[in-house]
Amino acid sequence: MKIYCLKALFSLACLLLSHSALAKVECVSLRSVLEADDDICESLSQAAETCFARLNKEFYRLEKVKKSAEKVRAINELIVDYEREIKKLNEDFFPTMSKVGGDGRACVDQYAEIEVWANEMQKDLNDLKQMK
Amino acid sequence: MRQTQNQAFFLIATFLLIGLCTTPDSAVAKKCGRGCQRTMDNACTVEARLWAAAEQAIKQGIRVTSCCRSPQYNALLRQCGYFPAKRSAHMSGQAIDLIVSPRNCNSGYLQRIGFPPVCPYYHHGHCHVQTRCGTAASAAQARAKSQKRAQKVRDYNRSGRGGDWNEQGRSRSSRRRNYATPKPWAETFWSEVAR
Repeated sequence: MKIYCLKALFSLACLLLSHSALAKVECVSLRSVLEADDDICESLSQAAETCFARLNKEFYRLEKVKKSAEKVRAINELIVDYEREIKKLNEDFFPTMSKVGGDGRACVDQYAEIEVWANEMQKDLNDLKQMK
Repeated sequence: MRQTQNQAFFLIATFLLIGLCTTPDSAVAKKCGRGCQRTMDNACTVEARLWAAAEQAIKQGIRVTSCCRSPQYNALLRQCGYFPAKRSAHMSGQAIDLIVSPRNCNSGYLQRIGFPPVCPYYHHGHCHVQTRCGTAASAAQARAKSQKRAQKVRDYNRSGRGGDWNEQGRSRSSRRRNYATPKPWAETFWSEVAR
């Protein structure tokens, strides 16, 4: 009996976790990344990677949820998050990296890395729009 | 009168408590200022040409604040309230930090005082000097590496495992679980369940 009760409780907890409301994903701002003590280029690249990883996690969580009004609402919210973060990369991160210095060569590799993260985010955003 | 005394006592106690909580752990604070080292914890060594230039700079009275950093030390710096990059060029021995004026933080000046070709930039009061200068070829390599990492992130997230992705490809929580010793209470609990 005890086992069945525990199993039921465990299943319920899993169900609740998988269907819990999707949290808003907001990544770090350029300002906070610039507070890094060194290697701004690397810090910016890592911030973009972490941002993609977090958004993408929500993307796959949402993909598994059955179609419903709730899901459409969550998709719309995630689209807003993706658009905001892509905008941040385009308007804040890229121009900053171009200005960092190092005779224009300090951030070259990390610039290319962030281009990848921005592209991946854009891919997810396109898929999200089709998911609706 | 008594109420005022109580309030004053409460205020003093609160300030003391805040002071106690915000004072850095002396052991940690002591370990934070390790300055410039060529090698650290057998984890990294500053490139020979960069190190030679750093020694030359020190002789000329320039302060070199940071050189090689081991992953442990980099992590420790975070505990001390600094924000070093997790994959900093200092960790591969390709960067050092100098105290020079922003005007002198350029490759021309640094080469004049004995540095090899570098890509320096001024940030937070110091000149970050790195030998890792990007080229079209290195950018292509970095792009390819990131694409592979992006695929790993996707695979990890698609699998629905808990925790957030990190560069080791494991979640923080699962990493903790791997190193943690099994708790006796947990063993008792699960053996109870199995019964």
